[in-house]
Amino acid sequence: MNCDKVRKTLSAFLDRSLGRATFDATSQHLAHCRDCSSSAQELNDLHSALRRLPVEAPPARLLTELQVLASRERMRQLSRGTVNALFHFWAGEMRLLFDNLMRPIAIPLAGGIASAVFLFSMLQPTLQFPHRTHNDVPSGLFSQSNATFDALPPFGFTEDDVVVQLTVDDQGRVVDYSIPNNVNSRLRNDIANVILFTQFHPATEFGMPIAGKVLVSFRRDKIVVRG
Amino acid sequence: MSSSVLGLNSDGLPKDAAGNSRPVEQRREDDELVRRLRAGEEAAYEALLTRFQQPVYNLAFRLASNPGDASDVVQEVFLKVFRNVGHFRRQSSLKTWIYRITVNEAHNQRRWFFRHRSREVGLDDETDEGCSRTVADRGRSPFDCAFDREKHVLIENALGRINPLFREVVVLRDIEDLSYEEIAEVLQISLGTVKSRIMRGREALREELTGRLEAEPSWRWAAE
Repeated sequence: MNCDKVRKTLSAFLDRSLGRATFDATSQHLAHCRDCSSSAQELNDLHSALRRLPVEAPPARLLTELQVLASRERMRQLSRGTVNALFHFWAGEMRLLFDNLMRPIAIPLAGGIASAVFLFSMLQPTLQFPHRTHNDVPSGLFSQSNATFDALPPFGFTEDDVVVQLTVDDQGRVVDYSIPNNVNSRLRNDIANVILFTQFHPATEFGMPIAGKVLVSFRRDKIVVRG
Repeated sequence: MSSSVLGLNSDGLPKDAAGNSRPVEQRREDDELVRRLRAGEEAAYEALLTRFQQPVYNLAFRLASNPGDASDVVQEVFLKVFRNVGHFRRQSSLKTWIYRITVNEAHNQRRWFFRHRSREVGLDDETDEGCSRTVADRGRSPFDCAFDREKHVLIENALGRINPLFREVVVLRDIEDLSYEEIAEVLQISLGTVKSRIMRGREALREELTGRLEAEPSWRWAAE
């Protein structure tokens, strides 16, 4: 064997992976060739040095992480057995994910909501503004003729109770009234005075004033009007 | 016939050559371990970690571009092992299967490293940790430890500079002590390619160290 061929087989020679004939031929060549023997010695030293390299110890943190990984993967493996186990596994995973997601923001979120409620409760009274909905004209629907009076007469009503039917036009003026026949003339005059000095509010239909009839109940101390 | 050169002899050739016979007992243990892993036995997971976490970390440490990323590689390896043990077809040994995953993950990590992090500069100097990260040898003096550390740093740096394809085979053969057939299984290449790469890898490593020898007298003294 020549030197070129021997140097190509030196690596396999050191690993003893040559056939017997090639191994013997290489050995014989190395016994007589100083350069090839030197190269073989260098490769052998390198091989020995590589084998003596220290074993790298895994960090303690990695060992812990591997234990956790093994535990999780085992649970995942077991969860594939039944539908119930699979459901419990994924429920646990989702719960863990939700907890991990929510925990960092739980205190800031609770504090934020509490602060918002507190500030709103402090500012809420100043945010009030007057609503005058009772003066709004009902414009959308037909409203019955519920005429009301705007001002009472400047005198009282001292007789017994009596009910009078009035006809109020679209201007709020009384155009007709009917009084029961058994009313004496004095009470009739009193009723007429009260009607004369009372201002009525006309009924409306789709927001427009119309004529309507109202029943007015005269009592000793007050007047009740029903449309 | 025996040879006095390098103390090698031809006894047992070629059966001992690269140890191509796989122990039947080991194979049976692997099958049992895989069966228990598929059954979800807690002890099987523990046994797998106990048996492989050290060699896998050792391999990842030397194949990854950044030794600090070896932990990430190891976690990815075991995640894939746990999730794919059901698909393990037993065409190779459990050891070569896990080593193949490790080599592939280290390869992926190297590609990612060169794309994303090659320009980053870390604050921690992880190369100067001495004997603290290695398994302690109580029989060695502090001087021996320091001397060996210097030598080991030289070799590790030289390993890091050679072609990754050559580095893989050299690490698997000379450090992890895998046979040629096992290396072929791990790397999914032919036996001839394994031999070729080992030869070229060792030659490249020798050249790298020869260049360092001239600058490092202590190494020359140590080699002599």
